[in-house]
Amino acid sequence: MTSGTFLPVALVLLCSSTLCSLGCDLTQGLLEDFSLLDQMSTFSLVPCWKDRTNFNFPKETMEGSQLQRENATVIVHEMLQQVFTIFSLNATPVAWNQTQLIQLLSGLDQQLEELETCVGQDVEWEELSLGSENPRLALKSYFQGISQYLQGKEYRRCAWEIVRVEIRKIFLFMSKITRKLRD
Amino acid sequence: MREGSGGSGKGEGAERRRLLPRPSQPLQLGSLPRGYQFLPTPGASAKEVGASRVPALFTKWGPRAASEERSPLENVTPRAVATLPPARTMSSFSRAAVLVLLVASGGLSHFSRAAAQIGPPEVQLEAEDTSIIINISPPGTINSSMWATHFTYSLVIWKNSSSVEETRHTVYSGEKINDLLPETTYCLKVRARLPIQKKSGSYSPTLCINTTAQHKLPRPENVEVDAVNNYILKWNYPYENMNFQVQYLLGYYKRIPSDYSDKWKTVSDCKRIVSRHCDFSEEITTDGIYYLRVQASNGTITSFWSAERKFDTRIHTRRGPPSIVVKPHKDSLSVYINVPGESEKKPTSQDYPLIYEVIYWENASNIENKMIVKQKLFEVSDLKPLTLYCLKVRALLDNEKSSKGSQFSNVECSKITPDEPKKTWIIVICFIFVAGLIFIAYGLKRLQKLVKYVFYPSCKPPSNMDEWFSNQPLKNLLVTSEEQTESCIIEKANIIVLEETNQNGKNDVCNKQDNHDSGNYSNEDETSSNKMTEEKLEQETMQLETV
Repeated sequence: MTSGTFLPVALVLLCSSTLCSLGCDLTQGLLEDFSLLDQMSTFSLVPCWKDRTNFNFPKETMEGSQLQRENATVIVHEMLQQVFTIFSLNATPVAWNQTQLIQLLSGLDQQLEELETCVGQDVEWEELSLGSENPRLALKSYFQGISQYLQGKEYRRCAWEIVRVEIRKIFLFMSKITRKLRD
Repeated sequence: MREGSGGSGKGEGAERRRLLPRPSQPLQLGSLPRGYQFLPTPGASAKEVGASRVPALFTKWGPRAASEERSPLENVTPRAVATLPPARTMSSFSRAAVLVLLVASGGLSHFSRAAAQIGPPEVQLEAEDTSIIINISPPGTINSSMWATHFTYSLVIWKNSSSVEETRHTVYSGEKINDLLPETTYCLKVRARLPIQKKSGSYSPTLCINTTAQHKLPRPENVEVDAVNNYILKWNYPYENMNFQVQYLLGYYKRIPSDYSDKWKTVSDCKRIVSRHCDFSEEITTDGIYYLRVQASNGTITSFWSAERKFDTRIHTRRGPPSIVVKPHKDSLSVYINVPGESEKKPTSQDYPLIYEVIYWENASNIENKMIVKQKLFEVSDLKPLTLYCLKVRALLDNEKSSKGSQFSNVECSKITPDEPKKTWIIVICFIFVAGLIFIAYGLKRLQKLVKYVFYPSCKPPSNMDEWFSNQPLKNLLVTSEEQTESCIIEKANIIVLEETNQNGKNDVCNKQDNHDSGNYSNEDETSSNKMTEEKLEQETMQLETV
């Protein structure tokens, strides 16, 4: 086997064991994403005050469910995927730093790939881990709310800035979860 | 168990209801015999039906519930039905109502199946000579953002003539299946997957296509990335005198459901190259996943694009030449290796363990000594003193000792010298420093005295001066010249004579003269005595102060 294929295989083997701590450690990546989100735009939020809204992040559901390692991975993957979807829309503001936006998307893609490799290559039918269902569904509604908000505001700059603030909060939450996982 | 029969192939066919097995039997997907076509209803139409019904039933819970997937219904067993819905606590009445409706509507239960299942994706095929390009549309409508874009796909492919199947996973839309035979019929079916949730959908209808005839120009083979110093793409090609073009794609475009075929960019240095390698380091501006492909051309005809090579900056860390810092000691050299491109950002688990090969020799001779070290800071010991040694270092993979090493660093030479000269310099500097301090202290003290002398004259001298004045006649007795005394005496005699007439005036003259003399004499003495008085003053003032 060439070294190119050896490492992913090794990772998979490592990660299929219960202590998948090596490949699944996203803390650094999440911090970078957060910092990119921060720097991407220097728009003042003062004129956008009237556009702000409560997106109802399902905090209680997230924190209520006892997040075991696998469930937490599912939730983080879902969140990253949804954030990726939002920022890959063609309608992101042109005034945003495009280089940093590309870096963010690239980083998210890498992290998603890492998670998918880490969780395992099992294909066949599996027992649903019901523990992650409630939070995942709650997350879906939450993100749907965000995309509906953007649509309703016709993807105006103010709406995007409000969403950007909200998504930074999400990244902080994700860092909290992954840190808890690591410890 | 009745399944929908026949089918008019893919297309905007008539909607037909698929009848589910009775709820008591668990659903077995993928168990249809091959060639048996599913109805060409994509998950879309079924969803619309389902969606239109669902709000009517579940408006009680608000619009949110209506748009969510009913995942526990995947296995439509009574148990599963009873657990619907998972997240909400409902009154028992509404739960019963739901159950009744679901169980009763056997024919309509396909909406629940659609809500529970991931439908089959839409597939379009394009054939090349040795590969097939698959374009997949996700199940669900374009408008419905419920599924978003999470899907990866897996497919099963087989030759029409044989029954040997090959399953491929993690297939993205627009992907190419390579290494096929030309002019052969291949059939395949695709299903969507949510890998994290470990859920798979139903298979699409089987589609068959013929690969075209062998193209005149083969496509480049064995496309590999070599990340020794820079990022280099290498490939093989059987013919000479060909031009090659290399393109790259930012990996995240594959995750977005829209068509990314226009997002491929040509590597600027590799538009029409003759060599079988391409340095694309300059295009890698962001950390991430990239895809690369090569195409051959002889001027008139171009081959098909090669298989795509996936390249992850996280895994293929570039190993540029290291740089070294050398410090000499009495009989050894301590060396620190600095590897460029190694950033703290990359998790150490992903990097290959690097070891370093050190080659050193005496400048005068040509005998090279080699050693392998695992740390970045190490010592080369047992060296001859006062000799000039030169070193160079390169990085290697731990498990590939043979070829894949970085370039050697620059040669650094350093002479083995004892450490003492340095120490004596330090001692000298300390000494000078201390001496300087003493000098400054002394200077300050002098300054202080001067300041005191100039700005703070004591108020005492007048009293001392009076003392001196009072002592004056005694002094004059000791020092005065005869003449003056004589004159004074004479004058005094005259004065005595004239005393009756004018006493004061003459007396004054005498006194004045005395004063003058005394003034002269006391001036000379004053300076010497002033010092004494000053010191006296100081003592007195100090005494006063202490009191």
